[in-house]
Amino acid sequence: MIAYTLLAGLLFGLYFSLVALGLNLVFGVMRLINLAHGDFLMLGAFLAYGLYSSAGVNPVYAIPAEIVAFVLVGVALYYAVVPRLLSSRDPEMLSFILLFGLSQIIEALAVIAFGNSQRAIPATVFGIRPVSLFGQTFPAAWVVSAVVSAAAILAVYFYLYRSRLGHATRAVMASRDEAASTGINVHRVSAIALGAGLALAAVAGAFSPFMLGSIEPDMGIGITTVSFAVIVIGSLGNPLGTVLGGLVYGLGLMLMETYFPSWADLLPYVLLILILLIRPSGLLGKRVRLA
Amino acid sequence: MSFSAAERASPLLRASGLVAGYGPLQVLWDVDLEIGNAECVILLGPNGAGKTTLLKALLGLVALWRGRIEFRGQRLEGQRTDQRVRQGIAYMSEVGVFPNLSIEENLKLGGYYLPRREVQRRAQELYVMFPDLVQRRGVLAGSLSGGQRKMLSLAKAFMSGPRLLVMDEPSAGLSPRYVKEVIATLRQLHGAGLAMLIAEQNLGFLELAGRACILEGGRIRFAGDRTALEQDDILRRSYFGLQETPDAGRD
Repeated sequence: MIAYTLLAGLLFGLYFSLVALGLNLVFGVMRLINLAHGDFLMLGAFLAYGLYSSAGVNPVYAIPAEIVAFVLVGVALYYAVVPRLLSSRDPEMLSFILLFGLSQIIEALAVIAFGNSQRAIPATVFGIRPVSLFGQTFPAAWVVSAVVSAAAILAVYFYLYRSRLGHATRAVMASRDEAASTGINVHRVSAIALGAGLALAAVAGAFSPFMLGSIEPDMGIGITTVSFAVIVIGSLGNPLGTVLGGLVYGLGLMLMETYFPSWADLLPYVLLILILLIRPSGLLGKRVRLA
Repeated sequence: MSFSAAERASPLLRASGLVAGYGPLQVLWDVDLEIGNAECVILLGPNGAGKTTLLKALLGLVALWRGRIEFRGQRLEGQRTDQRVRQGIAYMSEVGVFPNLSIEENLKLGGYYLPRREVQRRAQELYVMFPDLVQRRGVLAGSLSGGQRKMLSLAKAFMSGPRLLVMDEPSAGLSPRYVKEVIATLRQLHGAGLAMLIAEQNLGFLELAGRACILEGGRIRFAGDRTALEQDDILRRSYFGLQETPDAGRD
């Protein structure tokens, strides 16, 4: 029983890392919490659902479409909003209001476009045979979701630590002014980071029917909350810290659902309070953060 | 470095009537500044005089309210900071490095917009010039001492092959030994034809400069040859009298 719970916790932990990774990337680069993060995940879920229901596309094959579509959305959103936002007098407060509003608008438009009914992609798209891991059997959809998540995390690692653009992105994370005076086009780097952040959310969305339950237009806010908890647990502003936060959250969730199922919904809040009391800079944070 | 006839005739950088500030607070009042090709100008002035604001206004990090800036005959006012840097202005802020990146990553970012092969070549050259950095190239810049960090930020600023190096208090936080080392390195770079604008309070840097400007309360109070500054009684008393030795107290 405990072995099953822990392994399931790891699979879900990887998935929750992917769910929150984009939020942390965007926070790291722009120092703003994307309150519409969960709504973009929801849109990604509906895109995958649409591709599946209309053309029978397996969610794994929907990934390239998700990436292209949401990188474009992210870049467009950046240039439409962020430069003006950052040059305003109180960017933090304004960004909260703006992104909260964006979240509401996306949700309302999604209700109009898709209706209020719940949708699902049957887990049988990945075959009906369960997968055996270390003597425990899991639904194939869980394993596929975890593998995709791990691949996405690796891709983010290579982007940030092994590419020129990634070095520039980390430079912008350290200081926008310093990056600009090093000759880096801060807006371009940030726009790509926002695009990457939304694309990560959308890819997570494609697998949400198997990991989070059915797809519905109002699922966004709950996901934003969970993502926020995950990145605070890991380390706000440190994208790879998200993985640690995701694993802690995934394991915690599986343990709660096994032993205290009726309390499981409280988990993000409990973990948030605990981490803020014990280690406010997150498990990987070096010092109390300023932003 | 070679200069065309037009470049020799006109100054490298000419800023006139600069007015800038933060929010409602005006900091610079009609500031004029000229830097010739391969010239070194030192910008003196007490804390809060607007030295950093002036440098940031030249780079576009602080929005200009009024005034014009010409660099190699090009107007800079409408350009983003990174575009100005690409024209050949390197900026070394007081921070100067990205603490979350390794020495090598910092250095290579200095040449971010150069072709990859050029970056490799220049990095090798700079490792020869700054031997301390070679052995530790994988180390995070945040773990370096103040002096090493300054050397790295100098190498990073020089990486792009600039025509003008703009520096904000290169002596800040350094021990006198390192200040001497920084001055020696700058003299070497200046000797190779690099123009410089140095905002400083440490008068040790004066020996590099051909000309000096004194900024007070956001206005230029003096601009002229270094020798004229050294002979001016009032200025000498207010600047030289107070700070004869390199400032070691802040290390």
